[in-house]
Amino acid sequence: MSINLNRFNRVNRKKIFNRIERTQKPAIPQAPKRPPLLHPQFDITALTDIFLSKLSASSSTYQSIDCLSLVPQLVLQYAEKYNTNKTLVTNLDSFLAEDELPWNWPEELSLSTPPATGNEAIGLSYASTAIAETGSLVLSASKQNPTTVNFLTDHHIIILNEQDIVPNIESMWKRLSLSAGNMPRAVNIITGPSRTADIEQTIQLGAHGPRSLHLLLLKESSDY
Amino acid sequence: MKPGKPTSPEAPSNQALFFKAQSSEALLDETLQQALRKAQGGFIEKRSQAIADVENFDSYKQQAQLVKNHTLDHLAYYLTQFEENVIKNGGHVHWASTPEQLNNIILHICERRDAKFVTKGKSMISEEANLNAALEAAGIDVTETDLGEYIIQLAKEPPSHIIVPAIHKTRQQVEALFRKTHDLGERDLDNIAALVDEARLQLRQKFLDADVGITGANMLIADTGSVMVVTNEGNGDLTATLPKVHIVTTSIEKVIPDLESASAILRVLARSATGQPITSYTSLFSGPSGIEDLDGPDEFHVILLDNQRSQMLGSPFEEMLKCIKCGACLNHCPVYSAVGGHAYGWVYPGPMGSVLTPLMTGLKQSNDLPNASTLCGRCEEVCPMGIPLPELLRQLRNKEHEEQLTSWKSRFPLKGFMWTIQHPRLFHWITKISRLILTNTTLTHLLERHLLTSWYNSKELPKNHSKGTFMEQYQKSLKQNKT
Repeated sequence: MSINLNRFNRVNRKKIFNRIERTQKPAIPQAPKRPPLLHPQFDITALTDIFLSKLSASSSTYQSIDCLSLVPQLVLQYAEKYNTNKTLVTNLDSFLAEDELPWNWPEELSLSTPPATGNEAIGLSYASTAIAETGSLVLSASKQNPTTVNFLTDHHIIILNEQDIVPNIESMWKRLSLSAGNMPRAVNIITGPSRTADIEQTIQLGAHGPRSLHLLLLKESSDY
Repeated sequence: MKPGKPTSPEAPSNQALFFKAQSSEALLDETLQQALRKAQGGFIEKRSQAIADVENFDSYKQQAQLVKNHTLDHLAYYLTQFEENVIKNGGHVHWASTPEQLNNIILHICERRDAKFVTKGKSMISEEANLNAALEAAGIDVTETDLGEYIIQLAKEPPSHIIVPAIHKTRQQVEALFRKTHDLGERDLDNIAALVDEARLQLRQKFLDADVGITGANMLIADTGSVMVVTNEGNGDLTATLPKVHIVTTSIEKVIPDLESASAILRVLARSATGQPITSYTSLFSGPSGIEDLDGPDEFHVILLDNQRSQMLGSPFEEMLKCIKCGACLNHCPVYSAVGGHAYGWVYPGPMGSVLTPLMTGLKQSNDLPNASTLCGRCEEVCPMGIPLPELLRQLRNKEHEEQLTSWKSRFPLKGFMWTIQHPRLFHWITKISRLILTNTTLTHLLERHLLTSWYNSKELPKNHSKGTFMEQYQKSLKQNKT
């Protein structure tokens, strides 16, 4: 089978646009003005509380920390709690080294760098922002946060700075300030662990992605 | 063609013509009825809870509808902008007028990349094109990765619901399918957790082995050139991230202006579908991986399918293009709840399917579907996009009548009725006679037991006719008022 894909596309595109433009004015050169949209508002002083209550409702867990140096020990504790093998995949080491804060990993944990292969039990990432409205953590694909870490591990631990919690979905997009030509390959808005209700509408966690999601919330007042 | 559900993906996929036979069969299928009973209520309750949890869901609906109305008014502009920006992000855009063209484009890409294994996230557009059959015919191993889609792929059946494709299967049926397909020896599969775990293990390897990943899209963001995919399982993300090529199969009406617009639609989508404020994973994909990325595909394609959508634009059925495929109208439909999705015979079941199927495949191929509704109006009430589904079904019924696609049994009495009501004397005389018949128990007994037995099986005539016909009573009251 050999079609000239480019020509095929040009012809089809033209046909489709002809049909669309039959019913409406041809595409105007300048952008049409989208009507303004309302955004739900939230109590700015209670963002953390709203966020944490929504996060818990999505079957995630959290604990507050006041110092990043606690992370390695907490990761180990989490692995012990779930009785998993103590393999961890993360690229945060190199990232956090910029803050001149090398982590002291316990010997029991065996560490690997991304991409995740599916053999690591735990993934550790850093959320650039979080949404109070939905209790979601937002991870943009980057060298520090490769997407495979979010989906191929059994348990996902995410670090978040308290001041990065924003009120609603719109304010999250604003914070990320995305523009065409300059997009991260993927942006994942994560709300709880992977789940399915495809068999008899019974919710089951851990369908394909992580079976559990744990947040380490770095408190605002903390000094890191 | 024999009525009944397609038994294999190669079987003719459009069985919409046989709605009546298929729904009768479905009503007698004990296992199906058992599965439907289990599903019933769950979605309705979860949705109403999710709506009660927010301050003003009606205002959320309004915002989402504003977005869609505006986009459809400027569809050509936003499609052009989307195309430009996908290219700017390093991706490719393809245009397909027909489902066959969509399949050809995918086969072309697979052939060029020498793909042997393909994984798929849920995509109703690929169901429109019966893509799996096309890939298999080309010798490509294709695996559905959404658990529900995986189950029905193993069962060689089409989906019976647009968001819960295996809603018609009981746990025992899934267990039997897994035992037959996965060669894993003796094991305990007596609970849902064990079934989900087994599917997870089986599919994990498929994800890792795949050469090409195909997903659908819930929205296309013109302003950033991105594709938004909403899932709960994370299968869409693994499909979009692990293989070297990511292909998105989608359609032209899914484009919206920007991320702010996407937020408005996200707010109503999951609440209407599964009763969640937001699904576990809402992901934005914008092209192949960059030099900094440690994972992700090196090729990114978006295929935009038309399949009659541009014809709906500007037609009385334009409203249907606002559909965000949440499935709320299916969950609340008394007909869908009774017969399930397969009876509808094509990709889209329930009220939205009864409108879309005739528009996409031709009214002649599906002329029972506009009548597969009681027009009770629940679908319109729960539709987050406010699509007037009963009105659209009514218009399709009119069209059917005009195109003489209905049987003489309905056309002839309708003509007779029209003629009669245009002759008032005759009409009044007939109503008088009818009243006399209906007040006579011997005659009604005769009708019930001997003449109109099948009609009486499901219906009853009003019992109290003692006061006379409407006109008789009206004239009587006029006289009384005068005196």
